[in-house]
Parts: sequence; C-alpha cells; structure tokens
Amino acid sequence: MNTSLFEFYCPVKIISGALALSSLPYEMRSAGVTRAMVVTDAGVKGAGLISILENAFDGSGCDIGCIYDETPPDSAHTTVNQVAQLYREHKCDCFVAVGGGSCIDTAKAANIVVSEDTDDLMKFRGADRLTKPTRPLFVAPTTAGTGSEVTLVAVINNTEAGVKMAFTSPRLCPTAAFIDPRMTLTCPPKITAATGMDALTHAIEAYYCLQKNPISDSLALTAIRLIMRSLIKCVENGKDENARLDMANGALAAGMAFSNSMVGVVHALAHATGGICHVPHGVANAILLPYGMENNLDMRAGVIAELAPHLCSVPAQGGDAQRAQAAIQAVRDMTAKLNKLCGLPLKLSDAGVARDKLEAIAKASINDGALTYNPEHVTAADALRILEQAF
Amino acid sequence: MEKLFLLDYKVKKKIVEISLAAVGVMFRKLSRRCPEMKAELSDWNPGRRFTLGVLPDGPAATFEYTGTEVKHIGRGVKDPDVAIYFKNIDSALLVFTGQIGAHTAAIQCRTAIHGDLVHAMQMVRAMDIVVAYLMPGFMHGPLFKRPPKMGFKEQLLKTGAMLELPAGLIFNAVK
Repeated sequence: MNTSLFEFYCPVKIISGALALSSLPYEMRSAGVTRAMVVTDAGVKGAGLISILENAFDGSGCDIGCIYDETPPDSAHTTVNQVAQLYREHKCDCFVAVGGGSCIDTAKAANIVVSEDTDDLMKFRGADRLTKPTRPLFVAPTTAGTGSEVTLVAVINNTEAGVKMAFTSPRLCPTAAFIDPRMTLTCPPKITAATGMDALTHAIEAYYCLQKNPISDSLALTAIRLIMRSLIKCVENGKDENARLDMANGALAAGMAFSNSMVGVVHALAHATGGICHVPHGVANAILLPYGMENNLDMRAGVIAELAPHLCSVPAQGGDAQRAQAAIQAVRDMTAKLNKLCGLPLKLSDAGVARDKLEAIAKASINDGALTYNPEHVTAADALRILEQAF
Repeated sequence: MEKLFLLDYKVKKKIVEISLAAVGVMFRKLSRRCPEMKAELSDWNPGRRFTLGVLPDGPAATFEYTGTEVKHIGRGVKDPDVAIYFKNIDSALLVFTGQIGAHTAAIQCRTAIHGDLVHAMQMVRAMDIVVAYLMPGFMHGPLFKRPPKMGFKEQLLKTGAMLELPAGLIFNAVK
C-alpha cells in the first residue's frame, strides 16, 4: 500500500510588479475593510517607504488608522500587544505590514491577539490553535528573503520567558502580498546578500527535505533560477529594478515552497545560532547551507544532484555524487562572491560566534521542529560536527 | 493491509486505545530502566504532561513525567502542556500498526501539535525510544530515519518490558 500524502496551501493573492502597492486600497475594499493598522519599523520609515504607502491611499476612500514604526529586529510579544492595543484604540479593521520578517510576524501575531480577543498570546503557540477567523492582513515586504508574506508561520520572541514562540495556522496567511520593486531598492548590500541567501536556503532545503512535493518542487526551482540570476546583480547595483523584482519574486516562490515542504538542518542550526549568538538569520543560513547539504548527501545525493543544472553548469561526466558536489560548490562560490562584494561572513567565527557556544547551539538545535523534515537523522553530536565544520 | 482501513470505526478506535495503553506501559518501564530514555528525560520539568490522541474526539491518553518516571495518568485529554493529535483515526492506525513512523506522519501532515514546539520535539524523541522497544526489530527500517542499534542489554530490557506488557495493558485499561 502506498502510504504517501502531501498537503499544499497558499491562499495569498499576489500582486507583483511596477506600482503594485498602488492596488492596496482596491484589495482592502475587496476584502470589505477600509481602515489600516500599519506595522513597520524605523528603518523602513527612515528610507521614505511609508510615503509610497501613504500616496497609495490618496483618493482611495480607504485610510490609515495608525502607523506603528517601532518594530524591533526580533519581533517581541510586548510589541505585539502594543500593536493590538493601537489597532483597537484607532478602530482599525485590517493590518498592513510594511517591512521585513519581523514587521510581518508582528502583524500576524497582533492579528491573533485581536481576532481571538485575548491578552495571552502564549495560549496559541504551536500548530492549528486559532479558533476564529483572523482580520485581513496585507503585506508589502521590503526585503527579499523571509517569504513571510506567503507563509502561515509567525515567530515571536517572548522576552520575559526568554523563548521564541512559533505559531502556525492557515489563518495566519496574509490576504494579499504586494511585491513592489520600489520597496526593496533601498535595502543595503549586506542585508540584500543575507536575505537573498536566506531565500536560496528556503528553496534548496524545500527541494531536498522530506516534505517535498511536486508543487513545492516547481516553486523551489523557480526561486533558485531567479535568485541565481539576480542576487549578485542586486548586491552590485541596488537600484536595478529588474533584478530587485526577480529577487522579490524568488523569495516569494521560495516562501510558498518551504511553507508547504518545510526546511531542515540548516534552519534548525541557524535558528539556534541566532537565538544564542544573535547572528542574523540570513547570515547563519548562508554560512551553514553548504554544510547542511553535505550532511544530507548520503540520503539525498540524487535529489541534490537535480539542483545542479539550476545552480551551475553541470559536469559532463560523473553521476549523482559529482553533480551533488557541483551543486554544493556552486553555493560556496555564491557566498564567496558575496563575501568579496559586501563582506558576508563565510564562517561562524567570522560572524561573531565563539567556539565555546557551539555545544549549546547543537543542543538547542535538536529541539527545533525543522529537524523533523531533514532527510538525515541529526543528533546533538551530528549537529556539533556540522557546526565545527562551519566554524 | 488496505482492509484494515475499511474496518468499523469502533474497531479502529479499540486498536488505537490498546496501542496507547501499550505506549503508557512501555514509557513507564523505559523511564525507570533505560539509560537513553533517562538521558532524554533529564531536560524535562517534573509535572510535565503530554497527550497523544486522535481528533476530533477520538481515543487519547495523557502521560505525566513525575521526575523519576513517566506515568500513564488516564484515558482522554487531561490538561496537557503539549499534545500531539492525529487528524483522523486512519492516520493513527498507520502509525500504531507500524506502517509509517512518527516523523513520516508529521511530514505527511497527518498530525497536529498543540503547545510548545520544543516540548513536542522532546516528546517525539522520547516516543521514538518507546517505539524502538515496542516494535519488533525487523519493522524498524521504515519507522526511523536511522534505525536504533539494540545490543544485548537493550534486547534484555525489551524482553522484560514485553513480558510485563499484558498486565500493564489491563492496568492501564481500567484507568
């Protein structure tokens, strides 16, 4: 009896291309809402991106009820409660997140607080805990990496308990995502590189991890093609709108892929490295990706080999093992180029990780749900070995 | 094997109930005797409760770590800190009849986790140890990514646990 089964879910409307954000009020009215609670951060506001949003509302019949622009780099539960409070005070009827993963996740979590009419976010940790329909959420990403604009996940830092809380529910999916190249033009080269490598990691892990399915495969390969074509161009010239759009679409496709096929050991280690040593998620993924791929060669050489034509020129001779090695080498070549262009770290030691933290990172990583989906079984000893290689 | 899934719901429910009771017996034995299980439980806080069950109102069992052992505290959902639920009775049957492993059930979206995901991962690792002792070695291949190596001491422990299983099942059934 064939016991295989997969699920695929992505109800997010995607509006991608020139002046995409101008369609926001139309989409709000289509969803039956008119007053937005905008969640953003100081960097986005300082770059003048909120004025693009404000312009979109002119003469639309919709308005902005409140703008919260103090979202921290790691979404915190206190911030979430503040945003929910402002939403109620200003009588908003939907959320608009403008920013990177932190702003989007904050808006998703505030949506839980408002929709469930609760003051205890902790009650909704885990999978499928939401019981009520959420308010419409519109998202305009300003980085091309997290894919949070199309995922059903939010990660919030509980600063009191000292833990990162993960929430997953189909109800957390945004109503619409606006991929507007104007919104990523000001992203600095190093952040462009790190978030771009985050997106590449989503696509590659989505392709070889255990929950892969034919639909996520096609999205992952599309993402890899777009990212390989345009990441270096974006880092070299941030004003290249076509390259920026490629990257934004690539990150989105990777987000749709990994939201349905999940990620593996690279993300498990990156989450733990971020939690313990505060290494930015994209930087940790960029460093760990080739080592994570190597870790899975025994179980997945054939699948990783399939990635080779999308990452590099395929060796004329040789079998899966050689092609898989070529794919891994292509990732290494990409990070080396990014290192030369903008100083993206190549080793954990370059990213400020102390050797005496590796054991704690390894121990924390085995409690990360992403390991469930990794093809190779990973113990704390295995995780430590990978970390030492990447150190 | 496909005929198994055509059985009446009541029969499937009984199979899952007996399986959950067996998990409880094995958990208690291993939490007292198995060094690997003791190491896994060393990070658990005493009083932590977890539930295994079937949605929406199917069979379920709740277990508690007392600090020295894992006890089956009864059938049903009893205020757990973390719970792993099968989305339907057929998915539970696939796992409890050894056709797929717990990680495969998760990968195939056949389960839903309620509660802290870190605790859930710890629970899954402990469950893997239970499954290794509960299922015969020849069935381990598809159940684990890396099938456990069981030496003489482990086989001895497994034999002892299997001998205690019938009495434990009766004891758990009346809870």
